Amino acid sequence: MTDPERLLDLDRDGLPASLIRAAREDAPSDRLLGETLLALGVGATVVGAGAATGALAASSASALSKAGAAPSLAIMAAKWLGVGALGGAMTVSAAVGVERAVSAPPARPAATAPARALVVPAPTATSATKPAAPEQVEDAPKPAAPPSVLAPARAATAPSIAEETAAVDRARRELAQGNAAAALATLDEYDRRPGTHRLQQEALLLRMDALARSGNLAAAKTVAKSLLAQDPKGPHAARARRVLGDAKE
Amino acid sequence: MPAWGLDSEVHTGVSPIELPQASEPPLSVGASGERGRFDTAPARLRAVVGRELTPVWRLLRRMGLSEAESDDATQQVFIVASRRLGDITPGRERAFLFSTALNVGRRAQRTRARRREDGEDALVSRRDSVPGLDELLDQKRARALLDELLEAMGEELRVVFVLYEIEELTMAEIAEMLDLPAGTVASRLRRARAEFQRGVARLEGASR
Repeated sequence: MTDPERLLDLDRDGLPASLIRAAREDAPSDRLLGETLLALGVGATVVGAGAATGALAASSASALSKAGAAPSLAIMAAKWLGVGALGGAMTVSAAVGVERAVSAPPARPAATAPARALVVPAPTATSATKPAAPEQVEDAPKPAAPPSVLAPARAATAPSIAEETAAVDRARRELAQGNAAAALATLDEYDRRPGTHRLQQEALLLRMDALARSGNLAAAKTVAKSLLAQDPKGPHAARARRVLGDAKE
Repeated sequence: MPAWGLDSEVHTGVSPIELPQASEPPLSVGASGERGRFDTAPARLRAVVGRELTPVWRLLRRMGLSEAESDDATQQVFIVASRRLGDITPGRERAFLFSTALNVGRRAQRTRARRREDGEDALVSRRDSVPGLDELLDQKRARALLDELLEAMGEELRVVFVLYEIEELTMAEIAEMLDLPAGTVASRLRRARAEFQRGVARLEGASR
């Protein structure tokens, strides 16, 4: 059986190709991966704010699973207690690690904690001393650390403008490639660095776009409001208003 | 009516959150082999979820489920997979997951149809509202148009079209997955493409 050429390859610029390309690029929200791993009892670890509740979610879902409870209960536990319901206050790092290390698919590894980084952009002692190394669940494969824009040895020092630029450029590049989760991770890393963030506005704009792209509308709106609050007549104000306006449906 | 060209086992009467009893899908189609790569079932399961979550979700979406329905259905698919992991040949998980997804998606559609009959239609919207920067809106519109064309195709053509044109399975893989003769798959793909092209022509005509 000889396969015909696929429509996308027959005419890459026509409407059929556009429709198919849009479908191929469709992807679930970042949340779903973490929630699914939680529901399966093989998933998540928690860092940062909301850790206690997040841990409760993880342990609840896991315990339900291990106890042989109906998986639907585990799913509901994950939904009610877990990542999404808490407004994205936890990072499902195991999921990120697994996906990056094993599959590196085009899309969306895991949830991040955008709104929090927004509200408290200056790093806390906790976030400075515990960068992107959340504890791993037992027998989880060690996630491959993504190449760091900011060298680990210098993680506690204020970044130079060149390092800031590199971080923001990297996030922009990742977003342009459709990898919103990676962009958010890069921006999280950027926010964790101490000192003045000279490109904070640009970072916020990228964060807003990345959140919108990943379907996290509530967090995108929060970022948009923050952008407007910081500089209502700034260069990014129009885009922020559009996100807020687009959200009104 | 074997709408998806799958076996006759159909599961009804459960909401999307409940656990499906998956039929036995063929296991011979899959992504890259990873036999021996993982020491434990949890590690393998995490890897499979990480790699296959998006394709499974995307397939469910193109079957006409809303984003929320697809989220629930995707979790069901992986719950089934987690229970059957030992039976799935390493490296051939995708065939199992896709076959299960087709069953789960079909059932979710039936559940929705029942809700509609019960007057709960407002609870379910196939096209969820999503944020939108320009390019996002364009993509959303494109997907909405595509979904309209797919819906008009009918299910048995749609599933072949989606698996071939969007998920890029080969016709042989589709035939094996759906347990159909190769000629039937080829015929369905031909008809699906013809319908798709007619739909596109209508859209282009309407936009002029």
